[in-house]
Amino acid sequence: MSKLIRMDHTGHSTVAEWTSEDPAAVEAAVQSFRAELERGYLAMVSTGPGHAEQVRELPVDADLVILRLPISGG
Amino acid sequence: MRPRFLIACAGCAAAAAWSGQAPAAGSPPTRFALPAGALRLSDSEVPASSSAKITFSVRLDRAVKDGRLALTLPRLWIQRSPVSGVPYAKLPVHGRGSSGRAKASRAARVVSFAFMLARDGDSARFDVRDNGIPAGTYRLPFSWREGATIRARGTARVVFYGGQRPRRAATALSADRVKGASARRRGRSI
Repeated sequence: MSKLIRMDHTGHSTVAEWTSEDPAAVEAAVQSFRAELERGYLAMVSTGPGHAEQVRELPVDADLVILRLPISGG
Repeated sequence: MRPRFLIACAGCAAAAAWSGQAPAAGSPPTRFALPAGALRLSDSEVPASSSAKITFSVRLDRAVKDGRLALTLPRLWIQRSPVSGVPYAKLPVHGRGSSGRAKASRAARVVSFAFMLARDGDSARFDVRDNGIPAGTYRLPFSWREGATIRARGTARVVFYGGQRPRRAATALSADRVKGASARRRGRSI
C-alpha cells in the first residue's frame, strides 16, 4: 500500500492511499496530489537515506510520497 | 509574562541574574543567562510543518575549565510519525564548536554543549530541523554543570504554531504607531 502524506500542523496526515492494482484509488490519489500542489505544497520522494527528490507528478510505484511546505528558517 | 525558573544554585550570586529574556511580549524567551554565558535559541516560535531550523547555541562570557550544558529535547522530537514512519525532526549526532575546546553532541534526547579549558567567547551550537513536528508548545529542560556541580537549571520553550502566527497584544508604542498611521491616512498630524 502506497501513501501520500502531508506534513501539516497536526504532524503527518494521510492524504491518500493506493495500490497500483486499484485504478480508482490511483486516480483519487493523483487528484489529491495535484490539489495539494495547487495549495503550495512540494512533493518529495525518498531516494535513499538522507536523500529525496522533488516530484511534480505522483509516482504511482513509490511507497511513500511526502507533501511539505517550502523550507523556511535557512 | 515571564516563565518561572527553578534555580538550583541556592545562595549562588549568579542566581539573581539568571533569567530568561523574552524577545517580545508573549513570546517564549530566546536567551537564558547562565553562570558562565548564555543559551540562545534562534527562534522560540515557528510555524508548524514549515521545515524550520532552530539553532541552540551556548556562548561563554568567561573562561571555564570543565563546563557542560545538557539540554533535553522533547520525547516526540526523536520519534517517528506512526502515520508515515518518517522522523518528526532531523537531529544530527554532532553540532559545531567554535574551537576544539567547545563541542556539541547528542545522545538520544540529550544535547550536550561541552567546554574543556574553554575561554571567554567560545561557543557551541546544535541545529534541529523540523520534519513535521505537530503544533504545540514543547518544553526543553536544561542544566549547566561546572565540574561535578550543577550550577543552574531552567526550561526553554518552543512553540510550533498551526495556522496564522499568534497576534501580539498592542504595546504603547505599537498603539501609537497605529494611531499615527490612521491620522496620516486622514491627513492629520498627531
